[in-house]
Amino acid sequence: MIAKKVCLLGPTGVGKTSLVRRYIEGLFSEKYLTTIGVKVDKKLTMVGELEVQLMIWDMEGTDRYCGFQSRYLRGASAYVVVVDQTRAQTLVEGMEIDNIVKEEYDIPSLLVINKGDLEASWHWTQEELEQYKRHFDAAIITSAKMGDQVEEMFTQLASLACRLQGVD
Amino acid sequence: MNQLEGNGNDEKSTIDDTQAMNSKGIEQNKGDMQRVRDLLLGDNRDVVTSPVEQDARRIVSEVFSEALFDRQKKDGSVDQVILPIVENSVENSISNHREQFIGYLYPLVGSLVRKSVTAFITEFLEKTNELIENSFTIKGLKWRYRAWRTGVSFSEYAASQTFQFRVKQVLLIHRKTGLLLKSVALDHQLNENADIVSSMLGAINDFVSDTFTSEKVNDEQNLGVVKTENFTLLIKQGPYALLVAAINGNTSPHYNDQLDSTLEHIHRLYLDELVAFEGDDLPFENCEKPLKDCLVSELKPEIEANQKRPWIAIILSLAGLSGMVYYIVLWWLNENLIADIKQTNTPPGIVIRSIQQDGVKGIELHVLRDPQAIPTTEWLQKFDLEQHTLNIHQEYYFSADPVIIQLRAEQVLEKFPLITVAWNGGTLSLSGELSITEYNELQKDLDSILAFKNNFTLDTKGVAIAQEKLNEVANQQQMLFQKALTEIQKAQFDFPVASAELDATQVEKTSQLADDLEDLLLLASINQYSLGIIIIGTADSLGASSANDEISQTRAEYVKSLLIENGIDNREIMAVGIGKIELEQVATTARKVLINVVYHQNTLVHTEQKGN
Repeated sequence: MIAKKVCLLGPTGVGKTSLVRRYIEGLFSEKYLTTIGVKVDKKLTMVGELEVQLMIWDMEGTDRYCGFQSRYLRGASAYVVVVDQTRAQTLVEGMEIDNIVKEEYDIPSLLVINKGDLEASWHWTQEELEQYKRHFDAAIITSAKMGDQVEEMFTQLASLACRLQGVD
Repeated sequence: MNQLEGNGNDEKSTIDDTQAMNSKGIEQNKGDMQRVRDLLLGDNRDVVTSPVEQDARRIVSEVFSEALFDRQKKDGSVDQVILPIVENSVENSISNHREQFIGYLYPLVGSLVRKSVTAFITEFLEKTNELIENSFTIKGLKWRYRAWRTGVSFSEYAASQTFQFRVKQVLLIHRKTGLLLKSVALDHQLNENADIVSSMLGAINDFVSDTFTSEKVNDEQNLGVVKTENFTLLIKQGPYALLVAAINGNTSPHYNDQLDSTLEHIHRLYLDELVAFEGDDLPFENCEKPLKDCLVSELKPEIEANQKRPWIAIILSLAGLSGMVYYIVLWWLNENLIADIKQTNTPPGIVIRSIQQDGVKGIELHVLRDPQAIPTTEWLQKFDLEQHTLNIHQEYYFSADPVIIQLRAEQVLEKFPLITVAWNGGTLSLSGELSITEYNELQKDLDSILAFKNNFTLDTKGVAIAQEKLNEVANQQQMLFQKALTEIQKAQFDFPVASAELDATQVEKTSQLADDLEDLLLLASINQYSLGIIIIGTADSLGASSANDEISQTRAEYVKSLLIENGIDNREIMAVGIGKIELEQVATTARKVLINVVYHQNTLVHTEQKGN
């Protein structure tokens, strides 16, 4: 069986853990997020004909005061930057996180705009958003609260993680 | 040719042209070929080679690496050529620049040596601690004895006894990704979440490494052991993989070595696969065997046995069980004895009131015993009482058993040694000579024996009264008779008005009267008198004469019946009512029964009495 390590990154409070919780039921307590900064869950998914075990590293939210453990990305096959479309600042911070990751790792990335059930309150134009999305291999709007596009998001993430193996 | 010579500065194009011309020449004619040969190989070949040699360095440098690669790939000869040169160079370099090399290598080798020494000291201390703890205990002494017996040193034996553990699970984890490569476990359920545990362990390892590694020293810190009170995660770090053993108990240094060598072995066999790992664990299927070899248990059989044998509890249980068995056997024996005693006829004069077990105290026996009967303990000797505790509670009573009465009579008769005694069924026959006083005493003593008369008939025909004292005795008997007669004739019984019933006190008097009459009859017999007892009923002067006659008769009959009840023969009593007493002084109180006795000497009136 193929296993892939993927990481969820993003500013504090954008809904990373909610996305994971919506997708799977974890084994470990979420207190790991605050103690060592990461919690790992798993989910079996299909990429085409290939059965892939996603090991999802849900990382502690980063903000201006604390960075993130880039070491946790070591060996990851793909990563996700989650932002919150009701807070413009999260996109800025998300882009900063993405830049830091790209300095060290050359792996596929996915931009996830969460809280899609709420009305977007940021001031970015569609063109500006497209500009940001171009930094990523793909982008998707989700709602962890309603469950919209969550399954699709992780399927897409699995596809990105398997890209190097020519499975697409 | 002139053209070539004239263009000496542009060698490359010249050669190219020359080659082109040669090719063309070959095709054109053999004459041209010969000219070329002369040019390249002839006396004037310097014209061609000199320009090439001048540019050789540049030409070779452009293809040097590729050429080495191709040749090495083709026959591996580059290694053979270069290796001695490199070795030589390194040797020369170290010889010439020793101090410099030590400076380079120290940080690398020093760190390795430090880690190795630390691990050794930790294990040594653990082992030493165990040794010290057990050296001066009973267990330590036992170990010394066994070490001496088996011919090994105490330290070797103690070390072999110190470590007991069980490896529950072994995980092989890809170091870079934290992904699980292979997992084996004693309990297959442990494998279910091994992948997620691996990743979390990888994360924790990263966390520790990131948190505690000093950037200045650049000495990466990794998790070696995660230890709880009774659980240990032993983590062995390799360059590409981690080997993790989940262990219950204390591991031995030997097991540490085993994990190290297993991890090295895996790296050696699967190096390419580890380097190229992209998430597919299939290539590591064959790791199961070396990992399973790490699932060992070092539990000392004798320690297991000791753990399974709580001696104190066993001894207490056995003692309790033995006590219970003893009690049950004792209870059973006691029950059998009780049944035996109950089934056996008790000896005369002994009556069992109750017999029962009283817990652990034994048997409680309550008996009634006549003083003449054999002692209770003597009777119980016929039973096997050795294993029993028998508590006897005895009360005395007088038995009416004929055997006891006979014993009692014999006791009385012992006082009269001149009397010969013969027991013949229910008859006691006496013979011999007694004075009249002795005779009377004998009679009285025998009569006083409870229920003697009910069980035996006394035959005194063989008893002769001593003749020399006969007259005196006769006088005494006569006096006694008269005295008894007087006493009896004093008796009066008072009745209430118009009643023919006596109260309880008066009834009691009739009992005494009966006893006195018995004595009188005996004395009459001795004095050769025949007598009859007349019970005379009277009535007061009130009321009709006929009614008084009737009630006086009823009163007399009533007293007669009471005397008969007390043993007086019916034939010796007559009841008569004489009606009212017409005497002025007692006319109103004469509600009585009076006793009178009619008697006579037998020799005189015997026939007359028959005639009556």
